[in-house]
Amino acid sequence: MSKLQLDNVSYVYSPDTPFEKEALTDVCIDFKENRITGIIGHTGSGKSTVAQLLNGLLRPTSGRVLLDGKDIFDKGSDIMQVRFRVGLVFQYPEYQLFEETVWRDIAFGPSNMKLPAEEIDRRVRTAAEFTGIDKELFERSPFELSGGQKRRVAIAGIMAMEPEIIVLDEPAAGLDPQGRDEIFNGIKKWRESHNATVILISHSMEDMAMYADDIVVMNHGHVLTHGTVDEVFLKADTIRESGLDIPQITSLTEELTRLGIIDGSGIYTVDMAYKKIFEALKEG
Amino acid sequence: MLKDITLGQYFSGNSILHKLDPRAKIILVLLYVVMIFIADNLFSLMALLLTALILVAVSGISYKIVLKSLKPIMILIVFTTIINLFFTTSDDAPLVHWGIIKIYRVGIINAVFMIIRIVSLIIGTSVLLTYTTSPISLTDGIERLLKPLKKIRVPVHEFAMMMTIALRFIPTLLEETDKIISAQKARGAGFDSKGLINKAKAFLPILIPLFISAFRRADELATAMECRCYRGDEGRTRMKVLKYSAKDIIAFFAGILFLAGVILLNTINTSLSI
Repeated sequence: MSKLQLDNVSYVYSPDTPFEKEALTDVCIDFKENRITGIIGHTGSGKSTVAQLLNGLLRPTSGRVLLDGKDIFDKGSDIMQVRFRVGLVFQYPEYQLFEETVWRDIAFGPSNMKLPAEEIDRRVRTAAEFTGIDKELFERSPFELSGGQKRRVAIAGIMAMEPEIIVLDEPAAGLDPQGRDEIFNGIKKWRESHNATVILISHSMEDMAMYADDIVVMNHGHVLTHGTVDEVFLKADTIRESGLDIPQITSLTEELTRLGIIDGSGIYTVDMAYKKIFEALKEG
Repeated sequence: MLKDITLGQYFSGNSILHKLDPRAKIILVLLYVVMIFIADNLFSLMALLLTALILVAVSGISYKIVLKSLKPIMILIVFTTIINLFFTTSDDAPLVHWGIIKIYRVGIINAVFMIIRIVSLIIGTSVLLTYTTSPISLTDGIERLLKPLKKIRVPVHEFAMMMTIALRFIPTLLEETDKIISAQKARGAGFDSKGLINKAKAFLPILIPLFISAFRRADELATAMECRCYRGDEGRTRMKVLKYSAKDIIAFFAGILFLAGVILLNTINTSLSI
């Protein structure tokens, strides 16, 4: 079932000025419930614009954004409620921290929802757990933390609103491999326990292969292709056309398959390739 | 969006105005401003306004943009018009006498002159200077013009550098502000709270991250400048050395001729003067 839907959405930045720029043209995407959908595309392909359309920060120039089948800009709908239901984590979210303590910063979202104090505290603690923030850090100033820790605090700040859908724009940008894994695994666990829908924006095919169920490939403000990970990676040529690449490990296993060394299609992660190659070696 | 502000904006182009030396343009703008205040009859003022409009055409900037730049000073224009209309008094008989409101001939003339003055001032200075001169070459020009002040130990270079950096970072910080506002809105921040204290409080989530990022950028910029061995003015050479060319000399002469013309037009005896 589709939870969130872009219905023929176009978006133009600074219309009627010399800086006018069409970012999206007639984009239709169905985000399915309880899945992790990855949006992937080159710089300037319109992925970040999509993110801001999903929770009503931007209003489509034409077309509709449908949440549970209802237009989020309908007269009866409260845009604030939409933002609580569709949580958006911006790129480099650590630059939005402002409170005196970590706890208060994570609690900013839930407090804006006017929840009772115990509920806020529970949500802050749960979100901190999923993002791996130690309780001892709660009373520290967020500005004393390391870059990776700040990032987690910022992500926890959105998770604490317990949205039905969480949109993350490059959540692992600029982190080391361990930091990325921790963040992505945290998001994955959080999704499972909250039955939420996740939309991940990234330009790393490797991350997508590891964590996404569905992938949307965008190019120059258009949707190039949309499907499950298997379906999308089968269209390697289309993906290369958009200036992106399929995961390196997939290129390698494709080549090995072509040479008849292993029998492997649909391999996108190093782990999968490792198993396949190990089996092939064992069989000799 | 915040980005749409056109204050002091530069429009790149290839016109003769873009190519003039920034020092020449600064001097000509000063001359133009002086002329606006010398001009005291309709002919000279109209000549000035017409020149400004011709310069717009020369610069290749669309009149639409110029018109838009006048919008913010609309209030100022309306305000001075009202003041001039209703509060100028003279010994002549008032044209309109309605209760305590008296409008004199001089008042109307004053009001019209003031409108022409303000409009020409804005159009003239912006088209001659800010629209057609990039901030970098503008500060470069200012630095060179103020150079003599160095003899009395005014840190001219440092001021110019500070100005360049400030101008350079206005669009960056505006963009950043936009982003922070969006991020906090996504967390349900409301900017429509009531009461002065609550209103101020609602801006903290924007101001604090903005200041922190401004300081961070300043820090990074300082390091980057030091890495490139920046140590102020001493022994500093330039990639682009400003040089007056034939165009600039011609522009100077045109300016001086124009000044003479304005003074001449001023002497025309017309009833339409102050």
